[in-house]
Amino acid sequence: MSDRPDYDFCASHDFYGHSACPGCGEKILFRHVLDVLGPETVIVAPAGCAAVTDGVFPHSLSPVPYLHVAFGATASAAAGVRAGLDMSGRENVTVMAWAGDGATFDIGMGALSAIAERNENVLYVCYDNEAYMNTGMQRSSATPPGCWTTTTPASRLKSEPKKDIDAIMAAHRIPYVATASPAFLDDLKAKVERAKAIRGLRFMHLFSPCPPGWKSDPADSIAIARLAVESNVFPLYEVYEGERLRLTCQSSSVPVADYLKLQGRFKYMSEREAEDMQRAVERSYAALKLRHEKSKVCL
Amino acid sequence: MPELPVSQANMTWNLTGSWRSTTPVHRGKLPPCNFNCPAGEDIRGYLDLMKKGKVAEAFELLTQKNPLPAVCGRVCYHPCQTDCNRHSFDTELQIRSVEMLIGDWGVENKRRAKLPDPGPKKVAVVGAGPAGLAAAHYLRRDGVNVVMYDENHHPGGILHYGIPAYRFNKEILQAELKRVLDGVDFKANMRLGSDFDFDSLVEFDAVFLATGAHVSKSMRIDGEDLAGVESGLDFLKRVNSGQKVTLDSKQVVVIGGGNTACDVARTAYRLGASVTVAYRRTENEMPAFAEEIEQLKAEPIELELLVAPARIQQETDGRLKVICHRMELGEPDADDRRRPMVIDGADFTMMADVIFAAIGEDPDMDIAPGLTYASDGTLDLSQIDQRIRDKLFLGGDILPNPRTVPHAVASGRMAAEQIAAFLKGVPYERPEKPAEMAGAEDINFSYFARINTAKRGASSDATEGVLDQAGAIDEANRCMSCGVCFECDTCYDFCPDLAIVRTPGGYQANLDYCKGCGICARECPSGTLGMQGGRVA
Repeated sequence: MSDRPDYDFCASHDFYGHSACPGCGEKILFRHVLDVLGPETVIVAPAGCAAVTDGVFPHSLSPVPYLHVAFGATASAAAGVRAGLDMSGRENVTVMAWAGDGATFDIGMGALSAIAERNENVLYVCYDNEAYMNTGMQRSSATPPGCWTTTTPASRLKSEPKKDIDAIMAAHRIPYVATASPAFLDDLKAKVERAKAIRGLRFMHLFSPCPPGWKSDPADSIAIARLAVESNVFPLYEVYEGERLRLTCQSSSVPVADYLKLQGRFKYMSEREAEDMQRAVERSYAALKLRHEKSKVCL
Repeated sequence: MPELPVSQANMTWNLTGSWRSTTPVHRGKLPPCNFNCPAGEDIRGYLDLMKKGKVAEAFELLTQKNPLPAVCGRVCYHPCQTDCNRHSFDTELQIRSVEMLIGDWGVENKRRAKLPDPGPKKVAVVGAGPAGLAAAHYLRRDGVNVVMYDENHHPGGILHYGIPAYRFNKEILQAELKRVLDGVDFKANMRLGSDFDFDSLVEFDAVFLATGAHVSKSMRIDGEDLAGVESGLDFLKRVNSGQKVTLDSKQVVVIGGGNTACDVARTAYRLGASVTVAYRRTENEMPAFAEEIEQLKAEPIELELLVAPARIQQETDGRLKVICHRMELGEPDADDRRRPMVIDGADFTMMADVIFAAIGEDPDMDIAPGLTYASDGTLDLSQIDQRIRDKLFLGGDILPNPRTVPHAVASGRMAAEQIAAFLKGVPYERPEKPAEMAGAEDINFSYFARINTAKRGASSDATEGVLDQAGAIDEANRCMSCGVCFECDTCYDFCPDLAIVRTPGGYQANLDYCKGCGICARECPSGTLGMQGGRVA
């Protein structure tokens, strides 16, 4: 089975010694995304887990340039790096923004919308662990309803739905929007390949399990990511030009409860809230499926 | 100076392994198929080779432990399939069918083992049953001169003369034996004690006795010496030797409930008899394999349970009258089976033209002068001529092993290893089995797809279990490699710390960086990896 080449970009560039927590989803995602992108890449990263765990100055895990920028400035800085590279004739270099959900859904939203509107030639990747985990697990607009965080304690769980960032980005009519999960690496890598080949703004939304923030067993990170997809909590799909939608993973209709029960952050949820979540998941998956079927006809 | 502060070094100095409180380890559990195989075959290993279409390599690996795959694929009771972890998932692998295909491939392609030139050492193997065959084969492969004696014309012992032809084709047997006995000096029609003397074995450097157990146990009842009362095993031997035997419209009673009784009954039925099997306990206690009992019941053969013959009388017309006791089950006895007890006043009579006794077989003790039983039932060799005793080895059904073909093969193979060590003057250490078997709880079923069982034929009998090569590869591809790494890269891919290193044939944890998150062990499809408490340097 192991007939792939022995060479992996990260493995052959001393990708060791980072300080991410045991079982961190972000680092699994990062190494596989980078393996696809290769050495001709510049990373732009705002404050967040990834920035902190990449290393302590003057040391860095990243085998490619990794530019640390202000929290709200990711998208603008990425567009600036792009412009600079283009001016110096290095159009082949991929500029990847690597930002968490806080920097994407909340703080960097304005700048992100701006580069989407201008269709800047940037690959913007959001690793979504559904709260401000690095600063102490405060809620973000990516936090799902019924979830415990330090700012939505057991007595007052988050009640608002998770912001539908993918729909927002697709509504900008950018060439490529995709969701991906560390549990489905072939799908993830295929999507990064496709994104790499496209010019213009590409947005990828990656599901990133966080054992300390989710109060889950570090060993369960991949199992949780798999259940998120199988229960349609985090369906895998891609949207081209804001129009054609393609589901890339077959639904297996695992109950949402199976996904919830592995995580302490959902343990304060009432049965009713869990049922509501199940219904909401079914509704939004049905809508995606409809668009998927419609897109097949449009092709 | 650069315009921005720039990191110039990597993070490899940060040995995050110091965070670890649990450590990934290879658990070393055995796949259930390997664990249960009496012959010690690396079943998972050859299934893995079959997945890649490497039939020749699969054949080599298989025949390292069992020289008779074509035979065993047909006659073995396949305990390899009993605990297959696919059982609870969809349906167990048809391992016996894959084994049969590999064996047949060896026969069709006339495979030969590479034989070194024989050295000066010379070993006698007495008895050409499965144990003797395995011993002779592996000794010859080890460069030893082997002379093999058997009282019969064909080699194979019980395989040729005991197992009925409807269960497997004797041409396949003889074709396979041609390979097994390659380079072995086979002397047919040589019965120890009558055609040659035990004393004459003194000229050999070692002697392996595997004469089996084929003396039918006495029923110890009046009338068992009457004409028409015969040993079931002798009957099978007559039929399998090609003698014309007919039982047309005869009434046959078979006494016993073991595999021999089943074979005798089914053979007699095929020769035209109407057959009744009488067994003194219930079906639960029958020593025959469940599959054989099922096959027996599928045929128009009557099964009389809780019946024991008390005496046999001959009528004036020559027919036999069996006076039987009705039995009931009492307390469990020494071997934990419930003891049959006679119900008083419930005797009844069965009529028969022929009676076959198949209540078990004992070894033939006349083969070696001085061979006796010790008081605890084991063999006592102390009275045997010391010149031979010092280099004498025994194996197969003569020993109190379970009497199956794969057990006999293992006994023969291990005897060959033991004899080879003896000839070289080095100590022999019996390999120990790891205690644990990988169970369904060790498997991560997320990584395997269920097959549609409705599309496959149920395969309960040997003829139906036949697969072609593509079918065998499909079947092998269902193997989950329980407990054994199959290099799927799952642990490597999911390690957030890149602390799993690929090594030739598997993976190792880089403990300098492993934080002990345990994803590798949780995700490992085959249950090879586990987590051990502590940092384990």
